[in-house]
Amino acid sequence: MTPLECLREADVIEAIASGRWPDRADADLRGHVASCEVCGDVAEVASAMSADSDAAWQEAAALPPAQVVWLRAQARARSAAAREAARPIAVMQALGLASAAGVISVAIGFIAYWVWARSEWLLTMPAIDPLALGSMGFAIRGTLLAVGLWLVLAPVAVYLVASDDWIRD
Amino acid sequence: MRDTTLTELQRLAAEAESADVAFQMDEDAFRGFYDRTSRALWTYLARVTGDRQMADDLLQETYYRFLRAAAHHENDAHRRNSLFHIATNLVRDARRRPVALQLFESADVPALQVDGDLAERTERRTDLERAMAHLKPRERMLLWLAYGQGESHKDIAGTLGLKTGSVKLLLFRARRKLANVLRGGRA
Repeated sequence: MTPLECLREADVIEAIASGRWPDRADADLRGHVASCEVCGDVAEVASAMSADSDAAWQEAAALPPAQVVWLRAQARARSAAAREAARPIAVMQALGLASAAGVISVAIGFIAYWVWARSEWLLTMPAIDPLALGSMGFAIRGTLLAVGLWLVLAPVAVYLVASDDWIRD
Repeated sequence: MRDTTLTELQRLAAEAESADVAFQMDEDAFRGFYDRTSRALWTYLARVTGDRQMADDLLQETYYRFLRAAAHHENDAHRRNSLFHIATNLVRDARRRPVALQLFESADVPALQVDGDLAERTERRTDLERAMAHLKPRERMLLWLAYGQGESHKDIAGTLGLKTGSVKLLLFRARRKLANVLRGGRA
């Protein structure tokens, strides 16, 4: 079974970091690396990475200055704060709409009950057709269903709009 | 690398005069911290994503999220670990977005036509980029932190959200895989 590490890994890494690997490294260390699987992998990977790290360091010389990164972050935080401040208004609007829908449904319910409670009395009146009263019941049920759906969906829609705004931040 | 124009700087400075948003450090402290960490962070992002433009964008995003996080840091090393941890999570998130997927599969990097040492270095770097493209993002992160930046196992664990004990095994596997690819073997 191949060991996961070797005591001489640090020596190999140190030789690579100091630029001694492989030509100016100890013959003893080179001999060890040639025979040790772990140190062989370390030498292969670390020397490639070390060279690439130097190149990447040069590329990173053209990064934006700290002031620009700071100012961009400030500008973004301000706009996020403005959106955050506007969110309670959207929530209040959603609550207002839901309350209005509730009041309307309760009113419709009362009217429906009132019509139903007086249906016998209405039937005694010669001008009312019982079939027409039945279809009025269907209409009331349909309206109540629509209002109920709206009551559930409207706040959900408003919430989704508000949360989407939040995600974009 | 993305340019910063004087106009943008003036516009940002003018906006900044309105009111400062409170961050976890002031501008002077940030400047020092940025100077100490930005190059290492950018090279990490560039090598892990394999895309320099994306590294530019993620660099700005990382510092923004770092500044906005109301975190308490015991010392500069802890602060630096938090920064790299945020960057690592952003790379993971970016990978999940379809638009960014192609950035992690760019195995064909054309070699430049140059002479001497530069040619050798460029060829070696191109080989490394191609080889890195065969690895999983976490393997690239592990290897870059360990051998590109010389981080300890404890710091690597903190940055990648792993247990310190599991870093050794994961690093061993990733190193073996990369060494095989670099030698021309199979991943």
